[in-house]
Amino acid sequence: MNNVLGIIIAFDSDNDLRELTDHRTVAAVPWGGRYRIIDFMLSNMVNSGIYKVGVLMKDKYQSLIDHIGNAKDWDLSRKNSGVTVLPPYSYSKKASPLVTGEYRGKIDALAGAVDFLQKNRADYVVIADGDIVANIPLDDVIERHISSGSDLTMVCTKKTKDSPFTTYVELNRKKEATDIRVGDSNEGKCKHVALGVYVMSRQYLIHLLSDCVTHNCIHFERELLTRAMVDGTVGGYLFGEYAVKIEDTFDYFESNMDMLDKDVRDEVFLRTRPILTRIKDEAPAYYGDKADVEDCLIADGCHIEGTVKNSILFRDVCIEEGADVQDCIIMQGGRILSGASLRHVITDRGVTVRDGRTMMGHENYPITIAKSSVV
Amino acid sequence: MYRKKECVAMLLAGGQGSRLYVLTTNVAKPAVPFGGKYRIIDFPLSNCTNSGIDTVGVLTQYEPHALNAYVGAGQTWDLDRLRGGVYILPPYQKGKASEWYKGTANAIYQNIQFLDEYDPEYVLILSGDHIYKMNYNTMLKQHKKTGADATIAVLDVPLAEASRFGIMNCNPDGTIYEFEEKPKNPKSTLASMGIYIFSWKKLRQYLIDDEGNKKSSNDFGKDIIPAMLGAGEKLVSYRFDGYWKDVGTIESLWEANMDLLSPNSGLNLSDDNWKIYGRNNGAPPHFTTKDAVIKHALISEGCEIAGEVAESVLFSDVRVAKGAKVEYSILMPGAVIEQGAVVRYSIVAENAIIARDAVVGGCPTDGDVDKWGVSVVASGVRIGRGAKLAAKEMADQDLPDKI
Repeated sequence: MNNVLGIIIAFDSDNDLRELTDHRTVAAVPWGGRYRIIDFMLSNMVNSGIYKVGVLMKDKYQSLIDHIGNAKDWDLSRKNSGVTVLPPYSYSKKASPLVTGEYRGKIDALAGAVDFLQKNRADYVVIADGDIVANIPLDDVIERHISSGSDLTMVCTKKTKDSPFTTYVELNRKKEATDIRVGDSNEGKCKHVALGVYVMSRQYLIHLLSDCVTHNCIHFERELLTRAMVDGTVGGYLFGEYAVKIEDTFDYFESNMDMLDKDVRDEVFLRTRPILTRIKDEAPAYYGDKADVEDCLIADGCHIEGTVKNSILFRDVCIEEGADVQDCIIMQGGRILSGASLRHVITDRGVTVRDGRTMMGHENYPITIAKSSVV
Repeated sequence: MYRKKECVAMLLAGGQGSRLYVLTTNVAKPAVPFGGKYRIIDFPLSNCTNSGIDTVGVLTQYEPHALNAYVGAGQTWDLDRLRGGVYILPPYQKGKASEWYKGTANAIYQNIQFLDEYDPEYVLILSGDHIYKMNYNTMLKQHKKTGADATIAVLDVPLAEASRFGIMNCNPDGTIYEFEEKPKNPKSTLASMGIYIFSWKKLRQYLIDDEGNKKSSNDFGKDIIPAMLGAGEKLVSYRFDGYWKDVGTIESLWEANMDLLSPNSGLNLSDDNWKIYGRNNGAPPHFTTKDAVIKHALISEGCEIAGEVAESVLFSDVRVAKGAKVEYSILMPGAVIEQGAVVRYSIVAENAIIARDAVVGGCPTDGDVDKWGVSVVASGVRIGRGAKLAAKEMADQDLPDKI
């Protein structure tokens, strides 16, 4: 697929993960024991043969740039392609006359990188949000886009919940969009939601961007998609496997916990389409004599002497003897000392919970402990 | 291009490793998996990178495919360099004489041209069958300080075991006056670790002379070192007192893996200052179900554990089904242990299947201790349902179902 350009939107629009996104974007939030959320889209692109990937950023992007590094771990350190990091103010007014400076949204961000789009020789562009957890065969999406003759194809999933930020889609029998609305599903008439992955020809994207910017349209889903639907055809690619767009702490917690289900893991972690991430070269996880572990996802480098149930341990986590961790997400470098007890807690990277401390959240409201805190 | 390097490492990775039997039927010994996520060669390669040695020749001969693929361009060990890096050096056709590597010294002799390109002052000779962490740079510093022609790393071994090793008899100042290969009555307990630093100009001449000697077996230990001693060259020992283990036999490979479970073994894989790098296969974190009971074990990413695991080392993507039991064993990548199967004191190689209710291996105290040994299931082999593989037995072919 060397005629396809990938663009990942790696800044937040309506997402809010409280403490977890204080100093990073959702795309850079650690997820699933050893990943960052953006790993899914980067891997989806590489697994689909897309080796030219632009990553659009807006703010709080240090963590993300650190994570991507030279992109070798995704096989994206390439001679004539690879990852291009696109922060704001990347281009001069001359090179990118549509928008310079700060973005108000995806349209501005894409228009700001129009020079990148114009210089590329790809026929097609995949624009994907960086906050999606799913193993999507983008090559299949692109093939379907081409054979359908649609002007734009978006990946859709079945509607599962109501949220003010979700893009609801009504599809006809030919799987063409007849209505696209953000925020409500028109009393259930929209049976699908747009996941945030769009395919179109590069020329059509440049045309749409210019059209939107010159008319001061800023909302990608509300305005750009609607324009495409009115002027031409917007097709839906129905994706039936596991897919979540991480919008809030609850989504975050729930999607992590979903990975404790083997059937879900089998839909997300495929041997043939692996989710790649930055390699840390940790030793295998060590279980001590007193370790009591049930239903847990555990990364390399962990050292477990205590009780852990229904939880996710990232790399290099230490659970001391006598510690009791249940329904928790413990990120990299967490230290849960003897006698500490945690329920429905998310600890960000490098958190230490001292002996005897008890912390409890609730299934519907997991509590988050900020990065590098000592409780 | 300017290529000069102070020190170039040459890693002898051509040995068949015949004492590992079925584990090295299809792969060279250095490519044998070790320690839950590594292969043996990761240790010397990581030591090189951590010691600041960025040019490494890997001499291959026996079953090189897995090893070539594993080493690749060397990015795993940060050895993909603009100048230098890691090179696979198989025997090749030359103008007049074309031949296999006849011995360890001959392997280096055949690559004199490679070394000359880097015009090194020193050459570090390593072997691909030892597990240890060592700073070669400290050894190099000693080599330079003593002005030695050759420095040989030695380890103090128990007297009872000394006759299994090449023994260096040393003067009080550390200089070596005699080398004895596997002596019946050892005079010293300083065993050669198979790690040498030579001043390249010196070694180069000895290699050429050795090649001219038709009676020579072209081996470092048997020919080059004795020749240098005989000629009165300065050979100095370098004392090493960390963890070091030759994993050339089934028993020692099993023991070295078991050592990782002991906090006092001296081999710390979690040390951030001296990481061992290995290729990663992109598996998700491992999963432990509510039926699993895991005590005192190392478990790698991609595993799914629902059975009982104790005192064992599990590589990536291993499956242990509910009701299966694994003790004192090493399960290499992709091994599958089905329901009701019992695996004890065994090495189960890559992608082997231990079917339902099969029994593999046995406890040393169950029968005659003298006849006991570690059982081995070769890669891809299926031990059929209810079949039995006794202690010390090796399976290199499928065993049929018994039920």
